[in-house]
Amino acid sequence: MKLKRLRWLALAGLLLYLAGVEVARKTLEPYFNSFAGHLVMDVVVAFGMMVVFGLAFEQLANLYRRLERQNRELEALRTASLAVNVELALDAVLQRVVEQACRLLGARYGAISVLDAGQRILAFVTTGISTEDREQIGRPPEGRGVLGVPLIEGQRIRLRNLSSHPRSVGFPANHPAMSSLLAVPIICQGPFRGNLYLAESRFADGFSEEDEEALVRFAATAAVAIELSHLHERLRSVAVSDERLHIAHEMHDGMAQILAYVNTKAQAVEEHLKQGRTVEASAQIGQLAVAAREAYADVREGILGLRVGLGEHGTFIETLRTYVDHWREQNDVEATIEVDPEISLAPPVELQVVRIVQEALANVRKHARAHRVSIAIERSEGQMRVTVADDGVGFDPAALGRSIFPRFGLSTMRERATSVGGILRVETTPGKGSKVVAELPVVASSSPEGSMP
Amino acid sequence: MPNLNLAPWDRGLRIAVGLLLLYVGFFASPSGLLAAACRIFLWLPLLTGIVGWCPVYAFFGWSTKSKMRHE
Repeated sequence: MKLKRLRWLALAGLLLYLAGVEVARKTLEPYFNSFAGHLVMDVVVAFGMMVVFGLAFEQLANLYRRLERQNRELEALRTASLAVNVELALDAVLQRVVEQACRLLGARYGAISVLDAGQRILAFVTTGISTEDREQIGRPPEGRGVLGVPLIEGQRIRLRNLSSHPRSVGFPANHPAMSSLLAVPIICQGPFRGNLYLAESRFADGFSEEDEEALVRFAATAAVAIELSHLHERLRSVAVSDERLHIAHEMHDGMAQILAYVNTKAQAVEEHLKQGRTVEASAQIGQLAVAAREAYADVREGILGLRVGLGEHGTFIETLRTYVDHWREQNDVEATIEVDPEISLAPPVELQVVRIVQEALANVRKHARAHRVSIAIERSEGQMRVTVADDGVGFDPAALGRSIFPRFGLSTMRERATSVGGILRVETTPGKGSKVVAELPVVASSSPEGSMP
Repeated sequence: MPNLNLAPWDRGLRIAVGLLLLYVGFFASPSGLLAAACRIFLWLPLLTGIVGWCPVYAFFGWSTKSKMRHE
């Protein structure tokens, strides 16, 4: 009730009260000289006051209830929204949303179903019903009966008696009996559609209009979760296809340079042999053999890197540890890895970290002649720092461009760091080892454990 | 509009008491003060019974209705 209207009602109530008191006084006037007469008049006055206070308290209680309900709704929506931010699994988020809606609106059962563009069920979560009961019921509803109204037609529906609806087709076997129903559509931007519905209100008057509005807000939260999950899936597939392109690019460039080098050497050998310079030809063949071994080691390392792919060994930290273990066995170099366990990154950044470490280790194998290599991944001033340091021969960075053998590891690492908004630098002095440092942005991820695409 | 707080049986009882007071106050001819009190108070059970809302219940937060919203 609006405050303005309440003021007028209070004024009218006061006038009525005074009129009632006056009528009572007039009626009881002949008895005012007796104690009983005064008593009756006192009761009239007291009762009148009780009516006024009753009305006032009723309004205050209504306001208090409304505020309390809004607080509960905000808290429930906040909890559900938090799930959208911290959990990536769509089912888990939807489960949280439907549970919060059920608790807030006092429903015994609740469910969310999501259909994809081909009308196939993408997700179906329930609350209030056990897994065994769900299995006994069988296939989830596809919107052929009353539930088709929100799911297919996108309309809200609120019923005190479910069976009274003309589209009601009854329940499947083993389905619990339900009478009241509140169902709203979940409207997504993507190719999905869904509905959020609650059944069996614990209130005798069923679900209210206020409940309906609140459920629409929960459906909006569910829609955000669905869209976020969809975007995340797309992000993963884009990251995978980007990585494939990157590998294809590296293979093309790398193999092309190696084959060009082999071709040059082969021509030189041919020339030397024509002119009978067998010693020079033999030296060239020796260089060809070195190049072939290098190329073979590169291919083996590349295959190892692809086999120890992200997502197959748990978190990216575990993936790195597995890779370093394999690398240590293959190359007989003491390799240690230290990772801040609290670190969490977005999937594309995780992928680049793994590839940068792999590339840096490949360089150590090929050029450093190191006995020890240490890998450290730590947080530093809001960024993540990846350091791969060796005790090898080091090199002169200025001489890189003049190398006779193709070197493309550093530029590849730099490209990878830049692609996720980071930088990469190399600290080295001839004879004193080298250190590759990549500084990458830390993007809040879904869980402290890290997540795999 | 206040939330109704009287169950059907409560409303029926109040209307019955109101009618009884109406009879006592106007037709049974008791002593003067009793008749006057009956005539004054008969409206309370009668009106609350008809409307379904009792201010005293509202003041104390009571209700005889079956469990409804927000209770």
